[in-house]
Amino acid sequence: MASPTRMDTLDDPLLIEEQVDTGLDLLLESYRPAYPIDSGPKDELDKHFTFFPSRPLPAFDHEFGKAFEAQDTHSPNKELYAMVLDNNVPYRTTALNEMKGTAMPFQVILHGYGSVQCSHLGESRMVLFMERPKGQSLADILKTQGRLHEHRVTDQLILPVVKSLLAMRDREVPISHGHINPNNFFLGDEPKLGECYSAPCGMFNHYLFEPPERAGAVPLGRGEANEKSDCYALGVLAFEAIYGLEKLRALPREDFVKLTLEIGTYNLFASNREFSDMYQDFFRGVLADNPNERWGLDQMQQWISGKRFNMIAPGTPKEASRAFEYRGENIFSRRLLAYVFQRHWREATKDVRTLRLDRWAEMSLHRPEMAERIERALRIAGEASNDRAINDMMTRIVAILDPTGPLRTLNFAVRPDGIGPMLASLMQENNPTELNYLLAMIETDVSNYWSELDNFNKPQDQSVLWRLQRVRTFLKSRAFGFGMERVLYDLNPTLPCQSDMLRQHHVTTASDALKALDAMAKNLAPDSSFTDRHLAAFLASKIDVSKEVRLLDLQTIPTLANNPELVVLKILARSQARYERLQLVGLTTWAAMRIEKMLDEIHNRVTRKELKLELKRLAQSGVLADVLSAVVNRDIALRDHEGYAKAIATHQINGAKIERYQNPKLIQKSATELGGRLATNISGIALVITFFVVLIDFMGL
Amino acid sequence: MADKKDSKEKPSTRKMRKKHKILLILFCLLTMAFLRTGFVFVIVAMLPSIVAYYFDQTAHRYTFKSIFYCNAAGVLPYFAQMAKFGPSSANLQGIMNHPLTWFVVFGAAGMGYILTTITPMIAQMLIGSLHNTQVRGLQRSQKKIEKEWGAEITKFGLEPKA
Repeated sequence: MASPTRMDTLDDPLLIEEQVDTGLDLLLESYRPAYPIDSGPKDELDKHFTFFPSRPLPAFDHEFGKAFEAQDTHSPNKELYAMVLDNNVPYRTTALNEMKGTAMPFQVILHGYGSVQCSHLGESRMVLFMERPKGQSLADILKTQGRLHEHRVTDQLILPVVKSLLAMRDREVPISHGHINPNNFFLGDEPKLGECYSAPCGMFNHYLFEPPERAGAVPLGRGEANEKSDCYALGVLAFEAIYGLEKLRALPREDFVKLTLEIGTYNLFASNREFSDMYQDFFRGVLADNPNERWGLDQMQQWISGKRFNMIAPGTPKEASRAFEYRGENIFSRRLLAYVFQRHWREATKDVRTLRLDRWAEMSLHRPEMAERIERALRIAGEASNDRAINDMMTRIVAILDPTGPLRTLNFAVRPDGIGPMLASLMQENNPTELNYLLAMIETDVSNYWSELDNFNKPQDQSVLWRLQRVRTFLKSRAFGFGMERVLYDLNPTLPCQSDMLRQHHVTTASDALKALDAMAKNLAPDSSFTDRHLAAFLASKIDVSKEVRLLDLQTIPTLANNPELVVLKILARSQARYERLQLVGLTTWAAMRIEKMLDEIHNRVTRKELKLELKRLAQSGVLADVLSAVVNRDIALRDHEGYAKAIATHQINGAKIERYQNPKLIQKSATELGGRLATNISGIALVITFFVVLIDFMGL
Repeated sequence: MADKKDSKEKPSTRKMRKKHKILLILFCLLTMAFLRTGFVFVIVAMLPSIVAYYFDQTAHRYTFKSIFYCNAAGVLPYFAQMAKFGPSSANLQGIMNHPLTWFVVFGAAGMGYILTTITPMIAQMLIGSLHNTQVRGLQRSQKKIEKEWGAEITKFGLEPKA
């Protein structure tokens, strides 16, 4: 029962009034955000770099960014351009960190980058300020001036690019370029390789400039490049500069890929052409199909310094002693077979069990370990008939046949370190079919299987495989802070928060997210809810929440225990706890306003009012955990639950008593009983008195 | 439940207990032995009680008991008179011929009957006022609970009785 003090206060009707003036409105109105947003200078980075939205540079634009003229306010003579990036695709942060302010030989300099408020967009974006390359792009030169001489290619193209790539490789964190193509190489006073950080690696390379193991993947799913893929791209660039690529560019992509698999990349490019002795080695080295045999930067350096390798011309890739007949074709190469399977995926999934592929691998390819793997993949899939299991089996079989190629499934192919950017793109496009296939790849952990198939299959960033394995458990959970959104942020650590509330502010850290929410509180409170899967997943990823956030203290109040907004608030509170000095009165007041509504779930109106009146004091602390303690409190929840149950019972018992006391039949019955007893007793007493009187008289006393 | 109890408490006919029968027979034999013809007077005088016994078939027979006690109180002085002067016909005639005797004997029985009629009314008044006081207290308590826990608490009712 309520304490005597509380019962006394019950007589005051105002105390348990439902509408309580918490004063949170006034608190928020008078609050000046400690970390204001949209109040600083526009189109400017750290008072050092400025860009001019009115002066676009379409020549440098790409799918995920727009270029504008820019200026270094400290050195106005520098010719710069700014690349304003979209907020929905990750950029190469490692490369950005390594290259910022560093003058790499023969490469445009990245002077600075950061989040900038863009006046023309009305939102913040990541903007890169880069040296504006002088001269013409190689593509333009080839169009206007025709092909270049071998010596010029060596001196002005291969040499500077190799030096530039070597400088990148020798950084503390080695980085590759991944964007070597004629549109990104400039010949002016000195040759310059263009930037490579504003989009996922290889995103804008024509497939001709990607080696076979990357060319098959969708552009966003190519993953990080490596020095061998850069050397391959440089080889193709040199080939185009000297001989041109018109014939190959005219070929449909499928035909080109098929031809490279049938006759080999070098043979396709060479096409009976006689190379000079020097370039024969070069092309045989860089255009090798097997990435393990392809030239890297060390061989390139030796080649430049004059070493001759006397490379043997690669033959037609014919591995099997007997052809594998499939769909009317005689296939001698396992990589070609993998490609054919990919091209006819649906049919292949139906046929693969009856093709006796393992027997061909053992008898014709003489690869018993491959046969065993194929047999195991078929056995594990068994007679499964669901799409997911069949596709997984097919992905594994194709990976066994072409272990250095990308992971393939229906409609697309992707490398493990390209899964993150691909996921970001598919979620943005809202493409459920391909998204499901991609998520199935993550769930079945086919990436780790793929990595064990060949020594070459080690992504540049080794942590990718570990992350892919880890997110599998997150993917299965539908709780806030987990699910597909969590996978998105874990696989794309540099991706800005995609929450509708924060997307326009280009938030990349938990601290920035909290500060932005604090600054936005005035506009969004109290109607905007914190129930946002992207916000929860972003923060959970940044602070590394690995277990579902549960409100165990509120188990006695199911509506609150399962309240997703409270879960998000708890994640926000945990994030804030990481930054001890971060006091966010705006955010806490907003949270308090949301919690004020939730407090209506507390049954005891006295407790409820006390808690509501307490909210303002808690909000003023600027600590979310304090505000949450008003509602996420085991003692209060338990006391309320027990008190409520007791109150219901007492109310019911009292009601029954009142009913009984007011029942006329029962009153009548009791009165009859009592009246009868009274009459009996009175008459009994009268008899006893008479008896004694008569006795006294009888005895003559 | 209450109805079942009532049906148990109100049988259509109630038989006298064996012990009571023996006591009654013993009383009659002793009265006949000592008072002889005076026994007739006792039987006639106790007639209201005998009638009440057969009419009152309730569990506790409060009406019978009240009439019997009062009736007995009215008969007792004459019974003592007969016992004092012995079983003489003159004495018995003197008692029975006097109208006051019958007025006292039957008046006493009537008083018993009046008691059984009036006391339930008085009891009803007492119980009613007591219950009203209790109901007011309970209603105050109900209001306090509703104030503290909200009106939704009234939604929970007791399950209807089977």
